[in-house]
Amino acid sequence: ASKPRREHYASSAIKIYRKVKPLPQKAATADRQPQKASVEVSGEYSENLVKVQMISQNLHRQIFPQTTRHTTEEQIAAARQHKEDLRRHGVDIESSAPVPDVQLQLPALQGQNIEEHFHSIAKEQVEPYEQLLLPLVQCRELPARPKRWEFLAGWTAYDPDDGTATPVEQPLEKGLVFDVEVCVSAGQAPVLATAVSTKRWYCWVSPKLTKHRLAVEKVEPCDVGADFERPHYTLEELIPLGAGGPSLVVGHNVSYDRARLREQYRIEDSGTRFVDTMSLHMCVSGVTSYQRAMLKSKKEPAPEDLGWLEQSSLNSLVEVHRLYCGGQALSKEPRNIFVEGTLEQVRTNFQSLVNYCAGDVEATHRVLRVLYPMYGERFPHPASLAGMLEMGSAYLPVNSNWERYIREAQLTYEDLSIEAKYHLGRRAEEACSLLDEEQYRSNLWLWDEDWSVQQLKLKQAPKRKSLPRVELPELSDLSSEQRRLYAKFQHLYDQRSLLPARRPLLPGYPQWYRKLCRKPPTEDAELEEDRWTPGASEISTGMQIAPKLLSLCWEGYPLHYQREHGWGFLVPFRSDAARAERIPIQELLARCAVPEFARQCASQEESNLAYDMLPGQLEEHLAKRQHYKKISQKQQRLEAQYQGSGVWCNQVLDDCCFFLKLPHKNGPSFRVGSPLSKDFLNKFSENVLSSGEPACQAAARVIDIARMMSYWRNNRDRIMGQMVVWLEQEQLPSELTDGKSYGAICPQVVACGTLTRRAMEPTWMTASNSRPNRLGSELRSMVQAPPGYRLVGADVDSQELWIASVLGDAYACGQHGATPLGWMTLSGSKSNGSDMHSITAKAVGISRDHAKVINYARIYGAGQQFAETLLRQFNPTFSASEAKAKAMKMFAITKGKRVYRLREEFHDELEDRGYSSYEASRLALQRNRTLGEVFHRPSWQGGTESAMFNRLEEIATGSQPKTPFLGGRLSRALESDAEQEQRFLPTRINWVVQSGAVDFLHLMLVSMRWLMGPHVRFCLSFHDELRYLVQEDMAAKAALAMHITNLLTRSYCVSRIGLHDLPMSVAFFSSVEVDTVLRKECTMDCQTPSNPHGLRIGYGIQPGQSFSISEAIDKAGGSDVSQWPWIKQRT
Amino acid sequence: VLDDSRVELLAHGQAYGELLKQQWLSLRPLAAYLGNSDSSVDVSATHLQRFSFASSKRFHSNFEQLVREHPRKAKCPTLLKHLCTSSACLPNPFLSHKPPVTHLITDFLVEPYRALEHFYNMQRESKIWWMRYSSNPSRYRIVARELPAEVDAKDCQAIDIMSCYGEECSVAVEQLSLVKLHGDDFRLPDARTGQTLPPAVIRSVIELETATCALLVDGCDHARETQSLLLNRVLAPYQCGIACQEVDGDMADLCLHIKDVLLRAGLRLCQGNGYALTKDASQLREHIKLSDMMGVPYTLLLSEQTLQNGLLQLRSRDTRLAETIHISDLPNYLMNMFKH
Repeated sequence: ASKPRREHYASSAIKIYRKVKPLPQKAATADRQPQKASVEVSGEYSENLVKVQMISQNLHRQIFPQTTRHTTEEQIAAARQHKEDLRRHGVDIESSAPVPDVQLQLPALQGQNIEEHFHSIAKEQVEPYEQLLLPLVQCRELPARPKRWEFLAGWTAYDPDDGTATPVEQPLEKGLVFDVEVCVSAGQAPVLATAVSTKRWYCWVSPKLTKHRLAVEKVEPCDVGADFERPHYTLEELIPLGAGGPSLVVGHNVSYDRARLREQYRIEDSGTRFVDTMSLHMCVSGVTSYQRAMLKSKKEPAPEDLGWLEQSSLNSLVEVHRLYCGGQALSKEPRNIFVEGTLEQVRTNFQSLVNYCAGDVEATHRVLRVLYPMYGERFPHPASLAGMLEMGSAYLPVNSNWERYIREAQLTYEDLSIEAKYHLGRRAEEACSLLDEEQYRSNLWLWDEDWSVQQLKLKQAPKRKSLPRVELPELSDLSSEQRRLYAKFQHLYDQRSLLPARRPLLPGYPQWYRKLCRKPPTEDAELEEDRWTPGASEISTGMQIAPKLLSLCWEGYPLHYQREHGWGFLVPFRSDAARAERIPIQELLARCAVPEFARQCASQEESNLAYDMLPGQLEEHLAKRQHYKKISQKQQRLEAQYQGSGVWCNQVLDDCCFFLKLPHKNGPSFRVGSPLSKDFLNKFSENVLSSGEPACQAAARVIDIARMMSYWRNNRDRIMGQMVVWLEQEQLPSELTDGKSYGAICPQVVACGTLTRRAMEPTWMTASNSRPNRLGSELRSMVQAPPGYRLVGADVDSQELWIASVLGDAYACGQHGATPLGWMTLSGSKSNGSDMHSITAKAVGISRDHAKVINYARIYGAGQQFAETLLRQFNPTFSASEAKAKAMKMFAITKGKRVYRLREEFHDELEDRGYSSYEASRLALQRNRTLGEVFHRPSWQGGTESAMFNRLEEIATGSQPKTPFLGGRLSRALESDAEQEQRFLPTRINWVVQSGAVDFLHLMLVSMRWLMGPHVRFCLSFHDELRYLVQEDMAAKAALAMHITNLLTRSYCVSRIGLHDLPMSVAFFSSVEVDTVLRKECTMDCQTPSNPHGLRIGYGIQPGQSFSISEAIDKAGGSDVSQWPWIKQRT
Repeated sequence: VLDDSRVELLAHGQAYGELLKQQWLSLRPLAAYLGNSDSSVDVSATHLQRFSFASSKRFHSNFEQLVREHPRKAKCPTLLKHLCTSSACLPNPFLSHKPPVTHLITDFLVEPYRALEHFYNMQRESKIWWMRYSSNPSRYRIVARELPAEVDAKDCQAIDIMSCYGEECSVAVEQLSLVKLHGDDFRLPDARTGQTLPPAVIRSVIELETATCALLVDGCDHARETQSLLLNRVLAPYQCGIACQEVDGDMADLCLHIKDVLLRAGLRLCQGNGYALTKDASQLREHIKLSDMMGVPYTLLLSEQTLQNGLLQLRSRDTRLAETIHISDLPNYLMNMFKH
């Protein structure tokens, strides 16, 4: 097998493709691979000049048919340089272990090379939809809107000429601009919709609106417990658009409308695709979060912002319409009826509301007419549109376990809150006894609570009149003795009339405790569902008293609350307690001694204060102010010495303590409202925040509970608000009629929702991975394929890192892995410490995990300052200078040094070499010129990532930055500032990589569709993760198609940047998951507080399978993909 | 604690246990209560027996009784309760009561296809039930039990609700086992679909005496400085005490009167006289301390003032503070506190 190949390369003088480096025994024979195969495979081995293993010969021949693998003398010489560079950065190129080669027969590429191939298959895929879209874009004048809308249930078509209304099953044309309206008070189902094609108008009205009582029989909700009234949607309530063959719907934020279309919920794909004008707008004119804030702010814009402000807008239809079409602003007023009104009000205002809806459709069309040509010009590759259409068709199958999940999460949540409340209540009861002998005065947390006590007093008895007699219970069945006693004490009962009309609650108890209690019910008005219990029944973890009852400490100092500053803590600065009026300073000192930095302050403070006491009363006020001023002057010195994370706020309490605020995530000017909130919970594990009574299990438990609950508390509204549409038996494929409930969610994905065109969706895209202490975090695994189906998918291994590094490789060396970053990304491994994170960790002297975080932060554009902060956060024992030194070292090693080269005209007077930025600015200053006049744009040198940053900056600072793979342009909002090169630079750099990753994803979507045709249904993708719903018998083929998709997509990408080969290590996914549920890894059991028994035992869900490329080939029935029936048929 | 390291409840504890039983009877009111039996065979003294109860005579007769006497309740899901006195104790190394013991047995017959869900719900419900009676609700854990090899894992599951004390000690207060039945011996209609099917049974077994001991230990195991016995308010054998510093004969009469009022309202008062006349403040303090150690949640404190205007102090074991109430508030104010 190797013979012809040798001839093939005979023209090359040097034999670089070394034959058969014997595979390590383990790799070759692993996984039941027959011995024969490994021999055959070994002939396929190849590596490049820096010893990175390349894809097998057979694959290279198929994917890069026009490129032969040969090298020139220059390349070899250059490689020597690269190797030297690699060694200098601690890379041992001999250290990588080869992986088994792969033998595959791919379907023939469509076109001369891989680039033509993707263009042609993407074109083919979008063609039918473009044919529906373009007439709409080109349509100058929509048909006239009917004068009057018929109040008929279902679809009505309107004749463009005379406005005659005809009921229809569904719109007759396949290309529509569409808008749905929902009456929020009546649930999420649509109440009316309008649509227009190039031919005529349509209006859809819900039967719910036309018939006052919906004739649809009330369906028994699926497995819903009696306590939970959960909405239950069925296909009948949704809008039919028809299925079969391609059709196209245009809308603004169209996924909202899509979620109300009937056919979208069926397991079979309807063939309808959606063009979202909001996504098109984001692609063309998207903004950064800073810009968004500016757009929202009412303030006068700064001059440097004027440029981009003209080029962009917020995302609403009104704003987008104003930007692209100008003219009169759209009125949104009728919308309020949908938001706040009732169905009855919608009925009364039917004509005006339909007109409003139709107005939005017209506006969307006007926007489309202007926007789509701009989009087409800026995103010329058909894969961009194809990807967007596919992203807009996400589909999440669920079953009755969804309702069960919500129920269990909710119940667990309630259980936990009861438990937490119970503990707090107990702590409150216990604290009450501090009232005895005023012990509370020496309690570090409760001293400033309101301990005042009310007494129950009787009114003065009237002098002359006797008191009204209180009726006593029926005495007839009492003994004479009992009656005697009643009579004897009758006068006591009679004094009831002297009790105050409004009885104080719990007379004898401190005020703070009484606030936590409810009045006992009067006899006649007891509410059953809200039962009264004695004690602190109203307490909760969110209350101000809670952290105090738990005796919480920050860095060892007791927490304290100040209305003005929020939560903070007390740091003593003097050891004599003379002047402390309220703060229990003795106890405080017993717990935490005066810290070193505060000690000197105290002595100075004393002299200051002594001095202040001298002047007379009149001046006291002034002196006081000065006294505070002095503290604030001193503050800087103090702040420098204080090593913790508290925030100084110029507060001294009782002349013995500093009050420092807790740090708020949004910055020092914010006040912390609750130290038991989400942002502080992990501070407990870092021991920054702790209970002052370590023996008190209650505090630890309440904190644990708060931590468990936070995820669900923050997400439950979104999760419970997911619109699940349940399928009736007859709507299910025949193999699914097993009596269980099946349904689906159409997640409301904005196909391009950010500046970098990443998709956005609030619930699923940000879904947390399942964690044992996070209630409800099994969310994703509740997306479950129906029986007979599988979810097939994979994560692209270190996608963005690879994109960034390969850009550097291609640019600087034209060779995979020739830059240190490139090599580490491709061949580094965690196990032998040759990956990027291990190498940085070793060089700087920090842990690998910390290095990893900082590495990513840097590649995403974070600066040295940020790395410093991170380092100190990770390791509080680092001093400021230590952290700074480490951060500097790390940046020198990785990013390298900034070097300036002279412009040619200065070569005569100065030496042509690299200048540091200090030298460069000095030289420019000497010549009285700007830096840019004397020097070229600086570049990075000497670091592992210098090449990458140089390339990224070069792309990002161009006048029309384009993504490297599909040539998509940067948003106009960031492009317009050509002269302000540095402005938004980190954002633009990040855009190059992230938007490149979006191209990558779009390409994968196109490739999968090409390989699998109609046999896969797109399920969901988050950034680097891709999942499909596939029939079980197709699952293995889909898994193999995923692997091939990775191979082809990466090949396309490298080909676009001038490399015509692909490293083996990134050619295939490390694994493709074939699973019944959506989860990160197919073996995860997703045990959480709400799923304590895990998926396997609790839900009877078995682990899925995970296929490497060789397993996928095996399971898919062999390596000849070109023989798959639908592919064979096509050719 | 007896010689063989088993424990035995004294009168006070037995009363506590009796109240626990009453609570159990009123829990899950859907049930058909099938009374008491003396059989010792159908109790799951060994691990394997937890799953084989369906073949016992008692289960058969219970099932027949359900179909015969409660035809309207004889469908899935339904609930059967019965008591059983037994000489065999459940295995519990930390705490074990001297036989004979009483087993409180609940059988929950459910649709087999929702068995797991019901099983988990029941676990949660039971755990909360125990938590409500505890001085520290976090001490309860649901612990899965390994299935014996003889049992088909597809059809059975078992958990214990453990009450934990410190790091090492724990007591199983309730056993829950799930068994799916097969064949035609037991068939019930599904309440939703009407289709008859062999139900799955979730059996809960509580050993009353052992569980009572566990709750008593729970009442002592708290991190407070005082030696209070934190018994649940509703279950406490003595709900209320009356105490005063004796001033004169009228005071004794007033105590007697209040005792009478409370007793007639059905409140459980301290033993003996039902009230304590103490000589001086220190004796009163001693008395209160004793009441706390006996777990009496509230004590009414009378003073000379009470004889003048009817105001008295209601002192709580848990807060160690007293609130002022009026004699005319009795007994309703107290009744309210014990309602839930």
